[in-house]
Amino acid sequence: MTSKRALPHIVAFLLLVDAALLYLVDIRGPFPAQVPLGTPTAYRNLYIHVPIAIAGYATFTVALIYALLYLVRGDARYERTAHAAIVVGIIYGAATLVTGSIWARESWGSAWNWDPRETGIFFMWVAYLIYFVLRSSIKDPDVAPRISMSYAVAAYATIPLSFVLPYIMESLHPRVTETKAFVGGGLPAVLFPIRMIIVNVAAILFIFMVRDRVTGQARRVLKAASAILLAAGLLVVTLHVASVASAGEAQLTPGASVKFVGKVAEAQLLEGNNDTAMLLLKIYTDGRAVEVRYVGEPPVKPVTFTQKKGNTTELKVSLVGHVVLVEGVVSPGGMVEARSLKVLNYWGVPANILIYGLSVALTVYLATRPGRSAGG
Amino acid sequence: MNKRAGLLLAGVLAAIMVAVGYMAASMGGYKDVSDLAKVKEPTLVTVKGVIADYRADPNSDTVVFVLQGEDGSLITAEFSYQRFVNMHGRAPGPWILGQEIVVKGVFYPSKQGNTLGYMDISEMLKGCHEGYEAPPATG
Repeated sequence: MTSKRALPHIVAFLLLVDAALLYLVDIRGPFPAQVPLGTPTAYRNLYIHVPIAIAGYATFTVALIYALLYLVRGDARYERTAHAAIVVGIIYGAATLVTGSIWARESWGSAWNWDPRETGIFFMWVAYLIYFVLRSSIKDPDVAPRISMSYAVAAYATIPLSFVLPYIMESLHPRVTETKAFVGGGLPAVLFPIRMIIVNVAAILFIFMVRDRVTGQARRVLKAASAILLAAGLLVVTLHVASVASAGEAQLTPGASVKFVGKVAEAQLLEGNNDTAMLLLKIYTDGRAVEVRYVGEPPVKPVTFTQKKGNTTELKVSLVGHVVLVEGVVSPGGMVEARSLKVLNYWGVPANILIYGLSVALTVYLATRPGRSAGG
Repeated sequence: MNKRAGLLLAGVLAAIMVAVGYMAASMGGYKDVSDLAKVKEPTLVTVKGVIADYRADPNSDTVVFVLQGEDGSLITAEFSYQRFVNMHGRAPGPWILGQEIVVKGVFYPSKQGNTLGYMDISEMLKGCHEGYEAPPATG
């Protein structure tokens, strides 16, 4: 009983830590120094989308275990747990689809294109959604749990299927072996596993709270923690909107002050290092290229990196591909002498943090609303 | 319904789900340019190919790619110049040559030599696999 009462407090603590972590992801989350398409900051979604997707798999795995236990032993408690796990899984599954599409829009070039992994996850989600239709459509209370639990076991077949599809078919989605190299060192090696653990532990504990419902002081604590997580999402979205809204068009009149947003197409390190550098940039804004010179602390570190291509090693500037906010003065030659150069996050990063906050808020609502417990 | 029947029902439904899911994913996946040799009438397809050549004209808002398949067969594929610039942050140039891209659109077969036909691109896609090869950066 004591351990049951402790669950909401444990989850509340995890949510508070997560709110701080998500803020850190938004402003400092490491991304690959070079990406094939879109802005590299979109890859900060690795710390948001992937843990949610794995949490969806984890909750459906819990549903499978309890559904099998129900089918074998016939105890109604198992059926209630499996049902609660599917409720939580559906929320995390929806968040997986939305956060993944927002990321794909930038990094694949299209939000939805029926890629095998996208199709697999969508099929999984629909399969579990049908579970609710099936469960509510059978009126006989003796038959409904057994048929719906049989269906819940069957629906699990969509999980390994969605996971293996990028391995057996051509897919735009990376495989675990590819992402493993990136999250295997430096800050990603800390940030990624911590978020993975927090999101997954919280999701699994939510199952038991949705099943039993949280009441009293624990209810207030859990709701407050969820509100703080949601507030973190709103904060990062507001900060993003504010940073973009202040920019105007790049009017290249000599002597004029300019503040504009553009994408770095080419970059050259003239001199310097990670502390201070002189960079010559070609930035595309409103469909035209603007030459920009910047001297100061590089907005992306390391400022350069080496890339092996066959037998040759190339030195590349990490700023290429980023969306930046430039503030400066136009020189007589038409070049912008930038006094400030800031990297702007891909909008989908704060948006996905907010979507995660909303998903948790919905789960907390289901776990704390008064009335009978799930499936009871 | 007894215990055995419940598990049997689950097994049968699971097999059906795997089969239907696999078929659905197969229909949505993408193929190689060389597979377009089998296409006989205008069809919506998603294919990958390597950019062997290109022609860009900002005035008519077009970029025409020559995409090469694994067996050397070619297609010409047209895309919006402005959309290309918006997606990539820069104009098409020699830097795109040799890159593998995935394109979605209507393919019009008209075989001439090793050129299989023309494609009107609606979506230009790219996998993110290579992204994870670069070292981490912060900003």
